[in-house]
Order: sequence, then C-alpha cells, then structure tokens
Amino acid sequence: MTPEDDLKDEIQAHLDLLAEEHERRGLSSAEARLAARRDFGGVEQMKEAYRDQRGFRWIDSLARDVRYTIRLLRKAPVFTAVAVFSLALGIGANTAVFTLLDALLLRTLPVHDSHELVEVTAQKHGEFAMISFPMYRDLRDLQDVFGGFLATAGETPYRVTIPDSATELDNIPVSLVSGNYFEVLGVPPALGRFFTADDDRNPHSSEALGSVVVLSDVFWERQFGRDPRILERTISIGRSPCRVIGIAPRGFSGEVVGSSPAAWVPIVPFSSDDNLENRRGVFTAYMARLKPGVDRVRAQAAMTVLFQQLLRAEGRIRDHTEDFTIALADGATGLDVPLRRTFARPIRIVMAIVAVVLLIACANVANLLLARGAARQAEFGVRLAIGCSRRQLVAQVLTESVILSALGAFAGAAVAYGGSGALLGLISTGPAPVALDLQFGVRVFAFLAVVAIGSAVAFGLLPAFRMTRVDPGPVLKKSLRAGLGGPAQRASRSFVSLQIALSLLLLISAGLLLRSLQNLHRLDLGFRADSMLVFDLAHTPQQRDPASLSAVGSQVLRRIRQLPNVESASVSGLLLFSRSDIGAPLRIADYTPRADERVTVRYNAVSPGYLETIGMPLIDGRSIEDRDAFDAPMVAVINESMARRYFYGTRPIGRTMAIDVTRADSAPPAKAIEIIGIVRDARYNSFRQDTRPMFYVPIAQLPRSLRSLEVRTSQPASTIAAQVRQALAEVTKDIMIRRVLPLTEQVDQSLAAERLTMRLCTFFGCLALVLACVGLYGVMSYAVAQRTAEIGVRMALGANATAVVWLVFRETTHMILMGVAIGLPLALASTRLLSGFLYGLTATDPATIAIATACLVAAAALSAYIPARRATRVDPLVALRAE
Amino acid sequence: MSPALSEVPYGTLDLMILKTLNSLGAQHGYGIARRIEQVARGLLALNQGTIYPALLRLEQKGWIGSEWGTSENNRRAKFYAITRAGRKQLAAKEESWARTVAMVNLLLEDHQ
Repeated sequence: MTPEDDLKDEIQAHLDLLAEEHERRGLSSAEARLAARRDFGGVEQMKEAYRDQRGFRWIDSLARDVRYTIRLLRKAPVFTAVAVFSLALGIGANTAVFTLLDALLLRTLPVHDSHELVEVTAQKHGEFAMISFPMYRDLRDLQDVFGGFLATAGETPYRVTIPDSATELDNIPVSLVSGNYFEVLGVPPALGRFFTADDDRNPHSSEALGSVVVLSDVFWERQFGRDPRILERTISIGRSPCRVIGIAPRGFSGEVVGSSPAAWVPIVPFSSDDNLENRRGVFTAYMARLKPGVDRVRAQAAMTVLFQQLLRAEGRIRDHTEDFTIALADGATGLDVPLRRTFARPIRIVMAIVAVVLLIACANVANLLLARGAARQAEFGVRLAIGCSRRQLVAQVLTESVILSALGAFAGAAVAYGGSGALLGLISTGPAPVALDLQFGVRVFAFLAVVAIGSAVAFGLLPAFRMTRVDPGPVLKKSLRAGLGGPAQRASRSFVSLQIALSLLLLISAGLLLRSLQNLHRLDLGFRADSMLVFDLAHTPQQRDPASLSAVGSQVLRRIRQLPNVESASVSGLLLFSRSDIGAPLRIADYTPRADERVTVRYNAVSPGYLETIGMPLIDGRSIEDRDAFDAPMVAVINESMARRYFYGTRPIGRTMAIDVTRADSAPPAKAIEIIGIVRDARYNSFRQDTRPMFYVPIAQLPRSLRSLEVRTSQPASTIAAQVRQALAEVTKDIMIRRVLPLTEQVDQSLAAERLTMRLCTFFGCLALVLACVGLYGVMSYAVAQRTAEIGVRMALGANATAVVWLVFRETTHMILMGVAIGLPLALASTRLLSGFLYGLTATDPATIAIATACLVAAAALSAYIPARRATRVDPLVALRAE
Repeated sequence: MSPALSEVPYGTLDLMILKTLNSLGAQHGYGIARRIEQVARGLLALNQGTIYPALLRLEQKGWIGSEWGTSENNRRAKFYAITRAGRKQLAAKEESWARTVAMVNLLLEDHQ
C-alpha cells in the first residue's frame, strides 16, 4: 500500500464515521454524506497540505533557515566580514598547503596500474648501497618477479638544435632511459612509437650513428605547434642527431615528481663505456612493475637472494655480501627524489601549522557567534515563547555556521589558488624550475569540503547549544535586554585561552627556526661568499683525451680573466654547495690504514687561482699555480682536517700520496702526488655537515669536464653573464651555462627547507597572534559592556581608574595565564618535530621560549588594555540610569 | 449576541491534539476532531480535515505514534497515541502557552 492509498483510506474512514453520526441525528444517507463533506472541509486542499507536510518539510524549513540567515548576515556586515575573513585565511592556507602536499607526495603517476610499480634500491644496514648499471643488467635478465625492470639516468640539460628552423635551445632537460621504459610504465604513445630494445644498443654511438628521441607533449606543442609531420624529422640532442619517433601522452612528465623532461632518449647510445661498464659507480635509478600475483615482500626476498649471488660472483665485495639487500618501495607516486626528500618534512610540518591556524580561526568565529548570541538572547527567548522548538533554533544557528564556512571555503579557494602558487615559488630553488602540476583535483576538493564542514562543526556546535539555552521568562521580563549566561561566557574565555595557547606554540616554533637560521648564517664557511658569482656549467667535451681537456680549461680561464670588471676567476670540476661530491681512493705514504679501512678522500680539481678567488686562506706551503701544468709533476693542496687525520700533526708539505689504481673507477695516473700546501677547512656542500678531509689538485693534471666557473667581481650577474657567455662561446661550443648565481645565494639554497619552514611558521605565527588578540579584545570589550552598571556603582563608591583597569585586567590575566599554561607544555611536546631543522639550540631553548612568551603576553595585554581604558571612562550616572 | 466562531489560532492545533491524546489515549482522526469540537463547545470552526497534516507533523517530530486498527464500526482506521517525547513537549507547550497568555493579558491590561 502506498502512503497515498493509506491517506485515502484514512479520509474515507473519517467521512464514513461522520456520515454515520449525522444519520444517527436523523439525516438521510445522502444528506449525511453531504454534511460530512462540509464538516471535513476541502478534501483536495487537505491532501495537498498533507503532501507538503510529508515531502517538503526538510527542504522547506532549510530554505527558510537559509533565507533568514542570509538576511541576518547582511544586517551584520562587520561580523560577517570578520568571520568569513578568518575562515578564508584558515581554510585557504590549509588547502594551499594540501594542494602542494598532494602534488608532491600523494598524486600517483599518470600510468596504467601505478600501484604495481616499485622503486628498486639496494641497502646495507638501512643505508643506501649502489646497484651499478652492469649489476642492473644482470638483475634484469635473471629475475622472475618483475613484469618489467627499467633504469633511468634522470634529467640532463642538453643543447637541442632544430636544423629546419635553425633554432638552438640551451638547457633543455632530456631524460636518459632504458629501452623498456615506456613499456614498463605502461604509457602508450600519443603519436608514433616508443623505444624498442634495438634502439638501446651500441654504447656511446649516438654522436657517430645518430639515435632516436621521444618528445614530451609540452615540447612538441611549444616548438612544433603540434605538427603531426614531426615524426621522422631529425633534431640534435647535444651533438647527436636523433630521429623523432614518438610523442608522449599529454600529462605524462616522467617518473620523477617535480621535473618535466622535454624529451627522452635511450640510455645506452648516450652513455660512455665508463658509465655503462663501471661496477663501482652508479648513475642510474631503477623502477620495476611487479608481476601480477607477486606481492612486494616476496619480490623483495627473491631479488635479495639474486642480488647477493650476483655480488659474490662479481667478487668486488669480498665479505659480508649477506648484509646487502634489495628494497622495494612503493613506486606509485614516482621516484623518491631530492625535491621530495628535501620538502616532504617541511610540508608536513607546515600542514600541521596551518591546521593550528585554522583551529585558532575557528575559535575566533565561535567567539564571535557567542557574542552575537548574547545580543540575540531576546530574539531567541521570544521565539521559544511563541512555540519554536529548541531544535529548530539550534538548526537555524547551525545553518548560520554552515553558510559562514561555505563563504569561507569559497574565499579560501581563492586564497589557496594564489597561495599554492606562492608556495611552489618558495620551493623552486634548484637549477631547473620545479614543474609541479598544482591542479585542484578531486582530492583537493574533497579536502576543502571536509575542512569546511569540519570547521563549521568545530566553531558552530558549541555556540549553537550554548546560545539557545535560554529561559524565555527572565529574558522577556528584563525588557528584552540580556547578556551572555555564565556558561557561555566561560566557553568564550576558554576559546581565548586556547587561541593564546596555540599562538604561543606557533610563536615558539617560529622563534626556534629564526634563531637557528641566524646561527647558521653566523657560521664561518671558510671562504668569502660576498662579491662572487658562480656559473653552473654543463660541459660535454668532444675530445675527451686528457691533453685536450686540460687545454680547454686553461683557454677558458685565460679568456675569462681578460674580461673587464673581473677581479679574479677560476674553473673547477665540482660546484660549491651543489650536493655533488667526488672522492678518490688514496694510498698515502707513511699512513698505514687499519685492516678494514679504505682511504677515500673528497677532492676537487681546480685551476690556478681557485683558492684565492674563493677566498680560502692558505696556512702553509704554496697554492696551485700556473706552473702546475699538464706535464709537470703532480701536486695537491690539502685541508687542515686531512692534515690532522692522515699526518698525525707532522708537517705534510713535501710528503706524497697516490691514487689507488686498484680501487679507482677509470684508469687515472698512478704517479705520486706531492703535497705542496695546506688550506683552511671550509664547508663544501652543506652548513650542517662537519668539514671533512679534502684535497685540491690542479685541473690541468687531473683533467675533466668543467663544472663550475668562479668569478670574483663587484658587478651584478646580469652585466657579467652576457660577457662570460660570449667569451665561452669563443673558446668552445661544448660548454653551456646552466645557471649564474651569486655565491651567497648558491650557499643559501642549501637552507631552502629551513627557510621555507621558518618563513611560513613566522607568517602564520603572527597571523595566529593577531587572531588571538582580536579574540581577546572582543571578549574583553563585551565583558566591559556587560559590566557597565557594576563599574558605574564601583566608581560611584569611589573606585579610581587604576582599580577599574585592574578589575578588567584580572580577568585578562587569568585567560592569558591559562593560555600560557596550556601552550608551554604543548610547545615543549611538539617542537621536537622541528629538531631536524634546528642548529645551535635545542627544541626547548629557554631564551627563545621566554622571548616568545613575553611577546605574546605583551600583545595580549595590549589588546585587553583598550577595553580596560574604556571601562574607566564609564560615567557612573549614565550607567546607573540605564539599569 | 452569539459570538462568531473562532478560527483555530496558529500553532494551537498541535497543542490541542497532544492534549486530547494525552487525556483520552489512542484515538483515530475522527475521534480527535470530535473531542476538540466537543471541548470547544461549538466556539471553534474546525475543518476536520486540517487535523491530518497536523497529525503527520506531530508524528514526524516523534511526539505521537500511529498504527492501523479497527474502528467501532469495524472499519480499517489509523489510531494515534502520544509518545513519551510528546508528553514532555505537551508539558512544555502548556507552560509556554500559559506564559504567552499571561503576557498578552498583561499587555492588554496595561493598555486599558
């Protein structure tokens, strides 16, 4: 039976009973039925009303509440603006950070069945060990747990030449990948075909024989206007002519989050035998797709067994091969790369910070609602008196919260849109721009919705119940004037204390980070970073023999030194503060290594004038000079740490060492190297790392590609860079400038994570403080307004201004103390999360905590002082008459 | 002069229905309408049909419940009974009604 039938039955039964009644009173049955109809009223009208009641009750009352709320909010524009502004900041900040977190950490690669992908690494006691390229080949050919196993050498900047249009493009990121790369990832070509095993043969053949290239959608669009006739055309990657065989699908930007190669080329034709056959080095990362039905744990065990067998067969590591394992990490979101390693933790911390800001904003809005509720007590009282249920009142107040938070979410989305772009700018510090696609995807929208609804509940529920707890009687009797009841006032005070506590937490964190950065900046780097420009070079020499390489270095240096405004210049094989590192296996005369010790010391190959240009003071002996040429006896300058570590305090000048050929990568000269000088220790790659033993050899004697050009000049980069580019082009076509930076900035970039966290923490800490002060000000103003009469009486009885101020301040002090009492333990418990970012102080540094607390108390006291002053201006007569 | 029949004041029908069910126990719609008319002694112009949307409203609020049964004349009829929440609501409504009346009286007296 449908409800409609039921209703018909019910009406019929009613009409029958009525008619019977009328018949009993003596009407004929026809007349009785007519009378029954009359008494009942319009049947259809009633059915209509009944259906309305059944179907539209919720929608109807909701629509009414929404209309009413909008009217209310428009009548209180200041309240609405402040509430929406607070929420927009809170919700927007959260969404912005989440957008970045999503793009950096959560979004899966746009490939087929990304959950089957794993990142393959080798480990020894939890530390990363290496899988050399030959080892990869062996593993790939012998394993049976992967559906496919790929290698990638990552992005390298190349000069790309497009012959048809005579275009020459510098610094185009090209990714070197194994032939099965696209097949393993499960990406179909948008046009043409991808690599085959045949494309990935013949080491180092690309320059002589040419090779093939796959272009990214973005590059195809930018350079070729999506012309489909691109296939079979030839472009040059570096000096290798490559046939374009395919276009990657739109949205695919490789296996690394934050990078976006313009093109992909097969790894083998583009790599030297040195790299491909070297079992001691590594230049590639690896990913694999699990076979269906094979889980990660089983695959990991099987690969580990195979790896250890191969290590034993290889014979490079003689003992403890059982310590080496293969680790398979989730590869669905791509490879774990520096960008992610650097910013994963800061972003999580910032996420926590903005969550705290949102809490503070919610507390603020809750307080505003409570204060408004006080003003609306009379209205609520009347509504309850004329039959409105409490539930309806609560529903109406909650509607208000939901509408406020919806407005906040809309405005917040705009904040997030701008904010996430700004955040991306803050993390883009490397040589290539970070290519994160900050899309507002489903996850971000879901996050925004959850945050908005969550905050509506957080700030709306308690006020809704507190405000509507009204007894209509007294409210009406008090001639429609009333105040916030005791419990509601207590609630709003707890909110203020909570805000103070959370602000204190953020201020202390900001203080700790700020002072750490100051400490780091005060560190003596061991060189003079001011008035220095460093050029990050990509050098792909055509003639790789030592004599020609050595000659190129000298020519470049000679040419650069001739430039006007260049005080001094040098070239070297390792860029300062660039995360790269070179070590050399050494035999040092008179030093006997322990049984298990393999002496490997970091070094840099530098031109004459390097130490002087950088400003590393020489302590003993002489520096590297022009006479230390290619065919002169080999020399080296060592640093203090190396002198201490390997020469036991004796004078090392004149002593010798040699590169240990049995352990070396390639075949270096085994000639004796004479130590000619000692230089002061310097930080080379990071502020935090302790200075390590290191030596400097003339780049003329250990020739290699030029990686860095150092220029001391008082001119800005913009004026010098063009001259240097010109000068380099005159010497050789093989060198490309990747980036020019003042050395101070180059050094500063190693602190990008710290600075990001510090800046955002400080920004949000100040924001939190402002919100908390606004909250405190509001609550105290309200308290003063409510106690006008009391204050009037006290003043009439002779209380002076100080006493009145103190009266107000006593309450404030209570709230502040409560806030500090909650905030301090909270800070002590949570700042430990920051310990990785701190330097030269602990997470519970008393001075920082004291300063932050003092700032907070001062700001809070100031914001309570204004209402307190106002209290002293109460005119007793006016106050008493109002009662 | 005989007084004109009053319309049912807005919001009071619910109260009357609850009160009826509270004193008489379970009743069908006809019984409720009859009772209200009897008590009002002809002072009230009640279209009996209007109680059904009111009954539905009260049921939706959980203040009354209903089930199908058989009426005196052996017909299928829906019987309504007050719930515990309904009794609480009735008490509250009675009080607020009394207050409203008192308030209105006070106002009227003030202006005489």
